[in-house]
Amino acid sequence: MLQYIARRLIQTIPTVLLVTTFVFLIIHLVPGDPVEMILGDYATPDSIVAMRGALGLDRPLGTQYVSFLTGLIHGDLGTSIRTQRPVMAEIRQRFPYSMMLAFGAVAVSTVLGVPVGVLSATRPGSWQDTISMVGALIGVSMPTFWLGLMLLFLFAMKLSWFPVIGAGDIGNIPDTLQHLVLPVLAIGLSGMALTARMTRSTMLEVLGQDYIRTARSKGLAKTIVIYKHALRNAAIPVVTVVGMNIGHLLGGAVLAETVFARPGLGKMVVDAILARDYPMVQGAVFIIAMVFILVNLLVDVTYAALDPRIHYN
Amino acid sequence: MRFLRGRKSRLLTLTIVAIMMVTLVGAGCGKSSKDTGVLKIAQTYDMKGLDPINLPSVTESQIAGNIYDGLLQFEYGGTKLQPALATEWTISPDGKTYTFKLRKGVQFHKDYGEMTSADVKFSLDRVRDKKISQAASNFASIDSIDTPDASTVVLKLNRTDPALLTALAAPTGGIVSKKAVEKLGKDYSINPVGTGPFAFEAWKANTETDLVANKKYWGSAPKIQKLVFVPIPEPTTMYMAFEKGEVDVIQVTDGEHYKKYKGDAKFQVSEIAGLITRMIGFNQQIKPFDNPKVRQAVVMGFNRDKVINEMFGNISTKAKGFLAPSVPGYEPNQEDPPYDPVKAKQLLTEAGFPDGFKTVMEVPNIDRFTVPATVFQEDMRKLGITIEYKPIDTATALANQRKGSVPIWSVSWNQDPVPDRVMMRFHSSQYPGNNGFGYKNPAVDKLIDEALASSDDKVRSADFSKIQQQIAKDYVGIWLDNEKYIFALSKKVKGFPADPRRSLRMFPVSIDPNAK
Amino acid sequence: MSVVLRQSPVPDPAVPGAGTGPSAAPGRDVLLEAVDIKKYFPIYGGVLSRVVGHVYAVDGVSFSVQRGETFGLVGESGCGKTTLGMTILGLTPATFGKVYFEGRDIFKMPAGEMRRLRGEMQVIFQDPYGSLDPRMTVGEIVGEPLSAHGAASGARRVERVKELLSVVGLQPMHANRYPHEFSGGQRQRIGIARALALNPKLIICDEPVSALDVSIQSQILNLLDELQDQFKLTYVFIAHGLHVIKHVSDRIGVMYLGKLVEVAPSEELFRAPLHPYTEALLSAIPVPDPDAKRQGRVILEGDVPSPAKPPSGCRFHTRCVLATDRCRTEEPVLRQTGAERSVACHLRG
Repeated sequence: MLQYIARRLIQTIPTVLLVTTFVFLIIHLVPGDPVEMILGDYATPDSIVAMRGALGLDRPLGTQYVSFLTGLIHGDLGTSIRTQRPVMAEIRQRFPYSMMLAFGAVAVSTVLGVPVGVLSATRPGSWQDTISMVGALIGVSMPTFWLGLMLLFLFAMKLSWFPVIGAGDIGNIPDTLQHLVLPVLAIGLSGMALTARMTRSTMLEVLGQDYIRTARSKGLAKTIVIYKHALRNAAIPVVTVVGMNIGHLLGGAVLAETVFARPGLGKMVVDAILARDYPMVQGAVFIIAMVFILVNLLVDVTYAALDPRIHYN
Repeated sequence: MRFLRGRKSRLLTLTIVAIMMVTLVGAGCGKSSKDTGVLKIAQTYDMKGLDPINLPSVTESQIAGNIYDGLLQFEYGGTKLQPALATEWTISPDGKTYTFKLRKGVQFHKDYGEMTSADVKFSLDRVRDKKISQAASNFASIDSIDTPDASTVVLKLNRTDPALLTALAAPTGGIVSKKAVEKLGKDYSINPVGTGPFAFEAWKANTETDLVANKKYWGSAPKIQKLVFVPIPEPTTMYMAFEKGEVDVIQVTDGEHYKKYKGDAKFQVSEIAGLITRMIGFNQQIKPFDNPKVRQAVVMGFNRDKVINEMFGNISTKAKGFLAPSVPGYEPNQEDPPYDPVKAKQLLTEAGFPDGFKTVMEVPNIDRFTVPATVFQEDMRKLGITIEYKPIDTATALANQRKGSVPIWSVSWNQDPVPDRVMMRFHSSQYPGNNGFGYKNPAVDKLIDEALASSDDKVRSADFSKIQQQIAKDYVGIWLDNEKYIFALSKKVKGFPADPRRSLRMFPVSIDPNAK
Repeated sequence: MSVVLRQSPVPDPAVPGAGTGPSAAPGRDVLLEAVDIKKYFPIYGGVLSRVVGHVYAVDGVSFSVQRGETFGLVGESGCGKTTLGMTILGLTPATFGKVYFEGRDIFKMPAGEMRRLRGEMQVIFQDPYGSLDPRMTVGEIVGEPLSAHGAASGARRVERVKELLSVVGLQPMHANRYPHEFSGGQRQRIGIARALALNPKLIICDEPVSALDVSIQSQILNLLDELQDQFKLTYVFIAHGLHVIKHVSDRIGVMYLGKLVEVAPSEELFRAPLHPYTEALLSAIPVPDPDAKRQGRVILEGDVPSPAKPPSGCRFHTRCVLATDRCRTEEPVLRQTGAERSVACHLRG
């Protein structure tokens, strides 16, 4: 297994290289110029030339790409054009918040989505099933942005249960959690809906299997049959969806960070793209790609843990 | 499947209850800035750094204005120049030598020592360095800086520059501690050191920027202990945070909330006409905008009142000319074409386009521009002009406009309290580039050259009047409106006036802890 | 090719015990008694998913099983024999009827007691591939009932699992493997070990060999036979063909479209079948010598009618060469025709 993980990690190198190259090309090819953005309305031709030179943006694209790669190999993601500070420092400041949001949302989507899916699957056609699945349909189709604002309006404005803005003091756990709830729900609910639907359909399939009848014939308690036998067998598609949710969350995170005025990588990337802050975009995409690849690896490793029939190596 | 249907899933209930418990921990204690000494101010964006050479947007300028002093400053709430770090200054008769006497005993924040002429020279040399400074063009007229003694600074100019004093009063003209910049290097921009009423304390990315009162401030000591600038990108969230008391000061940018807060005794509203003009421009180098009749038709065919009154709810006033009325040199006596679709249609016919034409419009993908643009598109359709309307991101819109590749575009211009830089936008030498109109009028070029080189206020204001009148006659663009800067404040905030530069200088502001 | 069946005198419908099933004679040691079991599955249809009909999978079946015997239950696919087995075990809720296990009505038991009872009533499933949880080791599969019923845990459970594996002819070390590592026959042995774990009194063998290679079938049948002797087991043995249960069953019940049509001691049934359907099933038994001339061979013609729309009268009349008008309109009841025999036919008995 360790060998497999090592091999997979080595295989990520070309993937990351491809992603970063692609992003490098795209961001440099779209119209717009970071220096013009910085200098703003009153940029003069000579001030543009001078600053482009100082930032190294007047070099040929190939040279810039090579120096980006060289930096990457040395663990240096470069300096943000916009803030003039190391990209790594900018990312480090926001990374914990993004992770909190992502893990919170995955946790919510799983912890709520799986039992709802199980409940539905164990009573197909019941009113609970109907409500859950209609709810899941709504959850999947509800725009994060709108949902976020609705949550704010209801739970922060009207009920005053949660604060409107910010991420809280990161050293203060209750405060941090309290700030985390609404954004996590805003992006986690659609993931929860997806998880619930997937859990329901795989559970329905698994519950019809002979080994479930076997488990019941053993005289096991209902919950043991459902959670130990059925859910474990239904887990692989569910884990796949949870893994996919993480990708989905990265998109939702931008919106949650905007609506709830939270720090995070999503908003940072979007701002960097809008400002044509090339090193910042490249650096952040690199980190996000790494996270994504690691999550995928984790999903694959989880498969093997869940199903003895799956072997790597 | 009775076996599975038997009872309600206890596990599910338990899970839900557990989650509710966790989520409700500490609920109901939404923090608000109730403390008497803290003022929380909402901004749209997070600040990107507070080095005067790189203040990318109004966000940074608003914060930096509290940290730094320039040699001069604007009067509080207005645009008149006043002494700041310089107590007095003289300008040589040829207008090319400025001599400043510095205030003595001014201390930098965080024990970085006394401010001297060396710091002033260092600061101004940095900000005029084109390689590192985004504001270099504002100081391009400075040729050299001398410091005959610790409290005297002499600027030698390569040309007369009536706009220089304004530039010295702006946040980009802020005086930094030479020692601090040299010591902190790249970290300086998030550890700025100035002499202003508030000292930088902390920045948490996308969360807040904290400033604390400078006890050793040379002017009257600030009344607030702490300023907290909070970035809130989504306006709806910002309004909720404000109404909940999580922030005390916000800028209102839509008519609905403007009306709401004005009519609600729980809030205060402070507003002023901004130094800003919103416009729709045409590139005359692209047909058929080379034809003045076409331009006149387009200008007269657009119902600006509808945008201002109906779409924006009177958060702006109709513009007459491209300058904001409060800019010195503004010419009120100029042509202001009325909305007249009949005349517009007639002009189009005279211009040889009885059936209209097709063209393209690119605007930044922001409500401020897309809302008027859609009304414009509809009004033009009535004239038979088909507009392919493309809302795109600001960077691309700006780049294309500067390249001269778009027939119709839309921007708003923030303006200095001097008209010089705005005037240059109509100079033929600035196309392509800042002159997005592709406007080339030798007579106007000559007037601009003369006015900008002159230090005689009479000559300047006469030239500026002529330029404005000529541009109005040439139908260079649609001058839509001057946005108001509207701030909503919680009741406890005392002594804050909105100013035309939208600066958020807070030193005379106080908090009334008893106000509800 | 069909031969006209021998006519029997019209039986007297007023035979005692008719319609209530073949009650055990007094003094017999009855382990299991099923009374008028019905299992209908609703059919949903239409936009609103309303019940538009039912599949009458089991439609009023009664029989009893004596301690120590093997009761064979035979019928074509879809006759409801597996559903009947699952219903008896309470794995599928019955629509109607009662099941007594050692005199206790199992459908009225509280859930906890029912779960305990599962230790005494076990089942071996048809499909050795699908019936073993693929995520569990053999040890877990076999040992789980032990912990669930508090019979053994820890080292004792490990020991017991090893013992059980040996009993069914597997190696103790197999406990750590997963089902996918075994062949079909081995898997069925795992299923048997699992069924034996709690020392059951009754095992319902639901076509335990039909999914296996013919070469393996007899091994498993022999194993089941040995185990019956060794552990004093009672079997209900479900099969779709008589040939499988000929040698293992003491008594045999023949099912057709959700109903028992004939119950008889094994030998008698083979020697002198009463119901035309039984006769047809007997004819279907493959003979070693294909050239051997077989007397009275009956070929079943036509398809089994849908259990959702069972034929009127005798359910077999659509395929019965003897069918009369009475058969088409009047449903025959299962009548006792001898000490241990009953048949549901207007024409026989």
